[in-house]
Amino acid sequence: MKKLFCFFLILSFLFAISWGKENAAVKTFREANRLYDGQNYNGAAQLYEKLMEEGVRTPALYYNLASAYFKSKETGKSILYLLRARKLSPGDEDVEGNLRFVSQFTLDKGNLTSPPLAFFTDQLTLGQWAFWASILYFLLIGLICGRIWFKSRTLLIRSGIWLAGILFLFLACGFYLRWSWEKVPQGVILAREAAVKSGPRDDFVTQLLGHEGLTFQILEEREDYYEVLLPNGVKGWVKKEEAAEV
Amino acid sequence: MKKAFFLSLAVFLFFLAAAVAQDVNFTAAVDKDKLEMGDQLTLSLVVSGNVQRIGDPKLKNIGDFAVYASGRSQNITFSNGVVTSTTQFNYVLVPKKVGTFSIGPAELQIGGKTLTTASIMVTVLPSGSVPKTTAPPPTETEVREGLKSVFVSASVDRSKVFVSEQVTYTMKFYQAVNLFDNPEYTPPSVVGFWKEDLPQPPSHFEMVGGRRYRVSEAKIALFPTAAGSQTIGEATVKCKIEDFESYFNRDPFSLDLDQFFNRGARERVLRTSPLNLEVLPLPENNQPDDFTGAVGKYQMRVDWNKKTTEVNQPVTAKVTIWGTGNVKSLAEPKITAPPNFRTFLSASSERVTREGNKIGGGKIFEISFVPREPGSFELPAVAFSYFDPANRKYVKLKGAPLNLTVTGTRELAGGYSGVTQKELSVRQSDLRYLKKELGGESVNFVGSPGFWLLQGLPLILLGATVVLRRVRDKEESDVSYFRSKRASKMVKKGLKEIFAASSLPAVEYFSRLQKMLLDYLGDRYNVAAWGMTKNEIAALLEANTVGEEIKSSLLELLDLTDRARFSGWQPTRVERNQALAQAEEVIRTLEGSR
Repeated sequence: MKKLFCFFLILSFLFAISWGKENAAVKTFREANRLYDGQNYNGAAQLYEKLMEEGVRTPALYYNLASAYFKSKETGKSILYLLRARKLSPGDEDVEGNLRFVSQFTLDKGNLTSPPLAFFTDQLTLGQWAFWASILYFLLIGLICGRIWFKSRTLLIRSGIWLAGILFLFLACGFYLRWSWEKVPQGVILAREAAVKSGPRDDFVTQLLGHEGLTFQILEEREDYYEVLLPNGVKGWVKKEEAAEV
Repeated sequence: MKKAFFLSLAVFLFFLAAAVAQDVNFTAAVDKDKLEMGDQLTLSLVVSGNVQRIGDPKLKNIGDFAVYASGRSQNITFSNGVVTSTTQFNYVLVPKKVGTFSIGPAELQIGGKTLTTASIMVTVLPSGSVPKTTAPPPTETEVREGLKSVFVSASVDRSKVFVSEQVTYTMKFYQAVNLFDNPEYTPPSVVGFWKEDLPQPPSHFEMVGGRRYRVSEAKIALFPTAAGSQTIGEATVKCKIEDFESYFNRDPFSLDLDQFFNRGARERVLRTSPLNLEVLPLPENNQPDDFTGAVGKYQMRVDWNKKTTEVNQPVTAKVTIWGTGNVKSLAEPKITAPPNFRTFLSASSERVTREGNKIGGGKIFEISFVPREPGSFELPAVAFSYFDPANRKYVKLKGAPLNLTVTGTRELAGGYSGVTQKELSVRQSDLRYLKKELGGESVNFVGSPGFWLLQGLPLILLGATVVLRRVRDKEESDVSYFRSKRASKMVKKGLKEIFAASSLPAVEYFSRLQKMLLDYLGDRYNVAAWGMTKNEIAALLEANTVGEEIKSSLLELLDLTDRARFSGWQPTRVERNQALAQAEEVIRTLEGSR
């Protein structure tokens, strides 16, 4: 009995700490929003960053941080955090709208890419696609097991299997498309101008200059460089200090 | 053979030397040395001599004159075995200010030599200070008296026109005598006009002053380019007419071949009078914004080549404008495309017609619109405005607008080399507002224990179901196995029931005990145990290698139950319990021997 009491005491204590932490994060978030409203965009960005340092990762935090950076004339970081917000909350109208808007201020046009069949794959996050596909998979197997055990050929069981199978395929396709797009990491150039070199050293030839906000796929990572694939098909190497991974 | 070669060479060198030795004259002359502001003079540079190729002369020290080249003419004559050419370069000079100016010298390069003309002094007076000296047209008396065997006249179809409106200039050459060769016509200088040649009508006959003249016409369509008083210069016709006096005046012993071949010919240079036109400016009232200076009467058709396109793929409007007017000077229609489009004139072609001495025709413009981003857009109606001089009003023509669907993604600027995007989306002009709630963090389900559990568990479940179903199927298909397996379950249940029924009469109690034992034997060995004799049961147990002790105990127990059932024996409670315990022992032993 004593043991049980101790267990519940510790659990309550942990819950209280967690709740207090969450409450503090909400307070900081609101304070940052207030600074933004007062046009103190740098101050707002610092508070949002502080939340990130504390381990908070929500689409709203990324979205607001992107807005603060855009107002501070840091287009690259704005795009970076909007892309992170989009990853956590695909299909969010506000995120998509701001992403389109901010991308108009980049020097390199048309650099934003979308997942394949975005109208479909943007409906859920990768985790949500996986969760619902797993549930349907479980249900489908459960129905098949019932069919095997009871040797039932009733219409209910048969139609249930078909329905669960189709839904499972639908969700599995969504999961696969989303996964195949997300498995290749994306990056954004944060420097005003970044040289895209032909190799991962300073003395390699500069193929072209990418500008702040240009997005790319990260093919490989070396100590100081990312190997990147630009939207126009050009491959090259960009210094890590001039870019960031989404 | 050698001799013939050297002879030929000598002859060639002789002619070459003769040709080089021939003098070449280069002179300059003006048609007037005094003129007023707004007037113009013609500077003629004449090169004569045995010259085959002549380049363009260079004019130096033109003073404050605007210079317009107005043509070049050449005349070649053969005289005394010598070919002589006379080439005349004409320039129209328009003074820019009042004063006395020196024109020239002009230079010409011929055969490595530089020929130079003398300078000419010209005085430019203020406008209106020089009395007009226009040649009077021939009077009827002159014509009747035969003084005018040839004459020229010039006219325009109207004396007051709008800027860019067509005026038709006609020069008529009247001849009442035969000509020795084709007349040489020099068109008038038309500074301040856009000029288009018109087809020459066939010559015809006219009666003037009772004399029959053959009339040749030259027509030009002129489009004034600026408002104000404009002058069409004089045209000249040079011709050779019959001169009977020369037949009698010539030296009969002269060896002048030129005189021989041109006997009876007299050269005449005829000049038309300059014509003044009043050019009206286009009205500024109600002038459309898209007016580009077209004057005449036009129609327009607009054809779009597609309604759907991709980003960066052009959609083209073919704009056809046709009618009467100076089609060559038609500018492309002004079009204001949406900001996310690039617009350019991709092609244009024209066709000029001269029907009924009216310049007209058609011009086709192909205007391409290149979308920069996907979406649905309305490309504006192509509009074209012109001034109709007949009705003195502006007319605006309009094509149909295009609802265009653009697919694809936004274009990537070539080379990332600092191309600035100038157009911003008109749909969103600022960031969307902040999110008010921090929201919850989403757990990354992929790769979590729950994820793998949900992947693995169904497989385990499926495997277990398949295995258990197979076991069940085997049981259900093998009767002996099923009965054998069921035997122990049933006997345990039977023992419990008998234990619970200890208060029953002896007959009933022992009947149940016997039934339970026989059912057990039947299921255990898959036989019909009911009705078997003691010997048969003993044989069955022996066949299944049951121990002697157990066999005796079981047979003894069966005897006991028979005794209780049929002999009226009333066993005590202890005896009943002993029998039940014995039955339990037998069954336990048999179960243990499986």
